Amino acid sequence: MTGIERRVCLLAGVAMLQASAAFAQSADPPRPRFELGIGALWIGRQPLGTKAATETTGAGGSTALFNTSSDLASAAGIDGRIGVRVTRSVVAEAEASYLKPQLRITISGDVEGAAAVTATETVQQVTIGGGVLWYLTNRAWTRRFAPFVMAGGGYLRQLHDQATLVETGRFYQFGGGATYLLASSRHFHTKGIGARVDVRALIRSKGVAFDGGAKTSPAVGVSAFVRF
Amino acid sequence: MTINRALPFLLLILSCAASARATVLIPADLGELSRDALAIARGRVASVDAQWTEDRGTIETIVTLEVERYLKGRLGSTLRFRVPGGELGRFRSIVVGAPEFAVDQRVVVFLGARGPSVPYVLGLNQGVFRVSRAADNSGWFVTSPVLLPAAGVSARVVRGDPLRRALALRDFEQTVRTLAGGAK
Amino acid sequence: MKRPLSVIVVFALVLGQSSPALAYLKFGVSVRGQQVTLKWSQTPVRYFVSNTGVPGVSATDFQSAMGRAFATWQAVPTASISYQFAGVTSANPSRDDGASVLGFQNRPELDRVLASTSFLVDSATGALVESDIFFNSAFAWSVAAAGEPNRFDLESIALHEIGHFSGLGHSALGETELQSGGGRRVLSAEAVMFPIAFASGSIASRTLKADDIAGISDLYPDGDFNTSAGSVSGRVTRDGQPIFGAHVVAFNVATGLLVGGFALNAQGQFSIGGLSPGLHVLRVEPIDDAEVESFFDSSRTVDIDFRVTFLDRVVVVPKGGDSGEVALKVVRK
Repeated sequence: MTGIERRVCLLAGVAMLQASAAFAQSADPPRPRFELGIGALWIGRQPLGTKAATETTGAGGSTALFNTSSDLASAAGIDGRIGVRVTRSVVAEAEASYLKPQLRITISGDVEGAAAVTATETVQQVTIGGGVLWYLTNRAWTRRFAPFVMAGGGYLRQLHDQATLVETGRFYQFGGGATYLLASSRHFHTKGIGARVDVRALIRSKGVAFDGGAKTSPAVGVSAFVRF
Repeated sequence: MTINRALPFLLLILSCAASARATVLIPADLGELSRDALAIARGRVASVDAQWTEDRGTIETIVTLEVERYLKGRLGSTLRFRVPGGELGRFRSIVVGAPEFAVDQRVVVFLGARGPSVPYVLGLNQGVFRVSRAADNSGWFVTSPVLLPAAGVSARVVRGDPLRRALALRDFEQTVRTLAGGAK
Repeated sequence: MKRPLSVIVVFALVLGQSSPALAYLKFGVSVRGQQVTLKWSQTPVRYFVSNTGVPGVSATDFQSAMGRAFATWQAVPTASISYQFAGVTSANPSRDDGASVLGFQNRPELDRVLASTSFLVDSATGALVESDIFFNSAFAWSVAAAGEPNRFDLESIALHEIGHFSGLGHSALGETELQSGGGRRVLSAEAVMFPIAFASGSIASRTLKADDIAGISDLYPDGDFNTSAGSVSGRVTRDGQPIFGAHVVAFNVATGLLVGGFALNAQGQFSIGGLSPGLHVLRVEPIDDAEVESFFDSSRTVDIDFRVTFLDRVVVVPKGGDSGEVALKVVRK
């Protein structure tokens, strides 16, 4: 091999190395096992039911004095999680969130013509739970873009205004999303930095509820994560 | 078992006792009261005197009214009527639903009577309307809520109805005289 | 026998001129300048029933109906009051004779009074000596299980009067209608202690409501009542000025229960106790459709110049505690 040929081979090799620098893992990528994420969570409106204030008639029936319709308004808050990769495609997570939705009770139909009014208060809502993510592609934690489906549940705690009344319950969630890996090389002891978006159906049982039934609302999470 | 009456003991109890009553009413509107009353009078309370009932079983009060105007009937320039309960000696009896009176109060009373006995107030507190001067001294008003009879069709009584306000005394009296048939 | 010193007893409908009472109205007695709640200090409370019947109701029927009505109050799980049937008597129920007697009495001069309860109070201590109830035999009565047309249900009226007998005043939880032919009738009521009876034939008032239960439990609480129930308190004002006599209703949004109270002092303060913990909506209205003296002492002028209003804030009633001061602002009619 001539000197020029050796220089060309050397330059080609360097170029190949440069082109795959961000994904040097493709040959021998880091294998993160843990993920720490924090971000924002938005939960959509949750209807809580209707209830009429009734009085008894002389025939033993009932008649409404006024009507109420209640809901928890949509709200955004913070959401954090810790994930452990169980297999190449399955991740177990522990998650917590904090929001302050407004409880609204719309009062209407007063028999004596009182103006309709919406009575409100702010509820402090905390959830603590866990779940499972199933990535739909192999070696998802090393791919730039990886969709997943998820399911989980946990404990729900709602603290009313003035912190004098607490209501607890459970939540369940089902949905899916995707992660986008922004950096995968070893940086500052990490093995990956990225962003995640997920969309869920959030089902609440008990907690603030007036008719005893489970309530479903949409939820969207956007977060940044770091993998170790 | 019968009650063992120990009269001295009972007198002791009664001497330091007070009593009060409460009722279930059949309500009347102003039209009924006006038609059923033997006499309707506006006046000033001159005296309030408690006494034992005729059978000495309990306490009643005899109210003396200096009549300013009769809206129905005529029972003299000074009118006496009875109400259950009262203050007698060391104790006072108040009836829930029965009107109370104080000297110098101005009232309109709807009265009934049974034979020659002292008249009584119709429907207890339903038959008494308090008269007060307006805060700005603009005149006299009937401050007790007035329920006018339904005009041909049944109508729910709505609390907070802006049309139901303290009536000027002259308007109240005109209404009563009309409902009573204009009798004097 | 030396008569004990006694003071003039002023029996008032409103408890506490300077502090708001837990509402649904209780009776109060002023003894030596202090307000004392009128209630039985010892239980079971003994009562006699008259040996006289009326057409449609025998003396035995009467005794049974009274027994059922007393049992209804006694069965309230959060109240500790109890009653004891002491026997049959020929005594007049309206006589102050040292014994609590229930019976029929012909009172045609009380032509719009179905029944009446009276109290005899020891002026030295404010203690109840006796309480009598008469049912006006000028009206037609019934004890039929399903009621009878054109006859008033004895058990329903007795339940109301025994509420008074036990120390409860009237409730304003009810709606009425002026009838086209004259007169007024009850459309609905959510308290047995509403002062106007349902039309004859109705048996709807044989069952206690939340307001009644809150009242009797407040008067005679059982061990858990004060730690399990909560209260809401506050003030009613108009243009910054206090409103006396406003009727405030607390509605539990989860249970649907209604309990009422009143602003009972010159500061417009109210306090409604015996509430199930949870979220409540508050409604305030004037008593401009009622004989106010069936609720309050006539010496006070009840302010009725305001509109029915809801509070625009959800009120949280804690278990065993109070909601904290609530400001209810109303506007003129």
